[in-house]
Amino acid sequence: MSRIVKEYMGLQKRLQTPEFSWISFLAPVDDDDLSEWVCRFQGPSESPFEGFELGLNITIDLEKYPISGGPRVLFEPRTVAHPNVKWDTGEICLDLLKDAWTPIYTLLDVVGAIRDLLADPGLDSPLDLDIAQIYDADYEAYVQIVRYRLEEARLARV
Amino acid sequence: MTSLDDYNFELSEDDEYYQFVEDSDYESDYSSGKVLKVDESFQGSDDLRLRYKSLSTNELYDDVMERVEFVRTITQLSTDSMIILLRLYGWNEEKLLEDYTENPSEILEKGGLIVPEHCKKRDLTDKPHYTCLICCDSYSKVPVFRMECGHEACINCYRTYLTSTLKKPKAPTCMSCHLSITSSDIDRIFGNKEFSKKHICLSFETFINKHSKNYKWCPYTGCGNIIYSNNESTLNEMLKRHKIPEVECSNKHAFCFYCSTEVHTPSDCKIAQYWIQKVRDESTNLNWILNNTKPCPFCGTSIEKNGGCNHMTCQSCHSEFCWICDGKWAIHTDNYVCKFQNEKKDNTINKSITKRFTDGYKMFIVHENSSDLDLKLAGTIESKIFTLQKELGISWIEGQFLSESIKILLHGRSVLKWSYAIGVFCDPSHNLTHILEQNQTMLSNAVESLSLKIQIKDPKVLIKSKAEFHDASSLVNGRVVALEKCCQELLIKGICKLEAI
Ligand SMILES: [Zn+2]
Ligand SMILES: [Zn+2]
Ligand SMILES: [Zn+2]
Ligand SMILES: [Zn+2]
Ligand SMILES: [Zn+2]
Ligand SMILES: [Zn+2]
Repeated sequence: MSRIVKEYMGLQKRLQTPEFSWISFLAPVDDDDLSEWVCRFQGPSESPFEGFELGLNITIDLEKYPISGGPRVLFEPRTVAHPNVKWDTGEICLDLLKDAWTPIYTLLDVVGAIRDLLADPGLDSPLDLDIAQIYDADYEAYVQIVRYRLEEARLARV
Repeated sequence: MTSLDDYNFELSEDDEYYQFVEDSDYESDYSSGKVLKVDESFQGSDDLRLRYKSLSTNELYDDVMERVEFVRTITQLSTDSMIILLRLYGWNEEKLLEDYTENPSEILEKGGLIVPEHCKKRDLTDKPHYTCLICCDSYSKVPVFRMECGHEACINCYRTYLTSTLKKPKAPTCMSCHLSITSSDIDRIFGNKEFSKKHICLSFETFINKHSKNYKWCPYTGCGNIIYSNNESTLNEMLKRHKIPEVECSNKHAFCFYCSTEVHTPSDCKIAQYWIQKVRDESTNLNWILNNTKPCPFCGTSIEKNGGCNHMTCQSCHSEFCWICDGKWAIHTDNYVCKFQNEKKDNTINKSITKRFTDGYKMFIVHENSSDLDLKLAGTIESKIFTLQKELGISWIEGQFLSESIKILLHGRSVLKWSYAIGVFCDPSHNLTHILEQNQTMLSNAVESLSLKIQIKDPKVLIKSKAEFHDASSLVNGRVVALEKCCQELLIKGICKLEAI
């Protein structure tokens, strides 16, 4: 039995525990194909993302996962304004998704690390220089931009 | 634009190594067409030779291991630990030793070499009824690798993992923490020494970058040999004397050790590097010249250039013309007055450096392209020799004159090509600059006539022309020597001086 199958089998049970109550949805798009996943989770509290639900698209290379490479994770494009996220594509700059990946991490670890990144941006490797600058210079303005854009994205979804 | 300050060698204003005679010693015989004589005193400066050795990756591995052992005697660490730390430092020994002396435990920690105390030593043992936490497979029996940190995984996971970390410059670590996996561990996991060696060899890319003063990859694609030289005083002396530190890898690929490019005789490294950069910037503008078909200037029939020779004959109207200037070849033969070069001569003196560059660049590209075509033709030479052997019962040695001629032709083109780089930076009003142009013209003629011979298709005609090949080849050789000497003198006398374009 492959690792991703094992993760998948134990997942629904773990999602019901209080530890992961902030994840509203994490499942493969198609039960027969474990390479494409979607996730929806609550923005971390005491961050500009509080009160908003965020969406992730996850791709897993079944040949490589988990030993030779981790999942590829993108935010839904044009929803998240954040120093380490590319606005247009939703690309995320997070060491765990790149060099720091090791086979010990699971999908839940990845989603958790992304949530932590929202609350605590890494300013030494910004993907969106404009947002990084605003974050640095005027935190209040940053909060407003983040929330304004999330609001817009929410309205567009309805 | 490249900064001219980037060169780390200085050219002294007046070089004491040479004593010069007056310019009037030159035999400026423009009409006889024979090799122009250049100052004899330039022949004696060939004594400088760069000491070097060619290494394969395997041989470099042995060298590197020797260095590891040497550094190890200073740190008193194990070979395994030493390799891990050197990889962590991108093979920068000095920096590692400096940091290590200052704070050994911090460096060991960074290298993942501090093993938790009072723990079971790392081991690789068979375990019955085992479910691996990484791959989640259950085995009735499987070898499991376990580190001091307690983290473990089945051998299959470890083999896949170590294969996937091959290309990383740093040594691999435990899958769950930052404890380093040593070369000995890797050997145990794979059951042989090949894999840890591969791990180390792949990190040589960084090793060579860090030691680029002494180590150079052979620039020929797919070669992979390395040239090592620590003969820095000779290198500097050669650069100062405008000599090219030419080296040859064990696959017989010759290149300039200083520039890591093709041998660029008679250009010196300073001009060659500037030129290469400039050509790179410029190359997109000049696709027209690389085009290998053009209409015949006399009847318009499309003509394909299938060899390097610039002496063209139209198959349709039988006109003979020059590929470079479209002029009738007849006007070239007597004294080679290519219209292109002729135009050049008219206003050489007032010509701006930019115009001189464009002209020189055009000639450079024409001959580079011709070399490529000659080289392609050379590929068919082998089959020609084979045909000769079969049809005429000619021995292999007998047929060798063809490959020999190709070699001479390519060398001639290369020298000619690089002499145009020199020409651009020469004082246009100086007499020696005119002599350079004459020498270029004569080498050019010699090269084109040899190139034309190589296009002979009939093997019987080929073998009958052996004597002509010989004559044409020695003519090229002689003119190469003359042109090289002329360029060398232009450089040493400072008549050729690099100025920014
Ligand atoms: Zn396993
Ligand atoms: Zn560990
Ligand atoms: Zn080579
Ligand atoms: Zn060079
Ligand atoms: Zn024609
Ligand atoms: Zn011409």
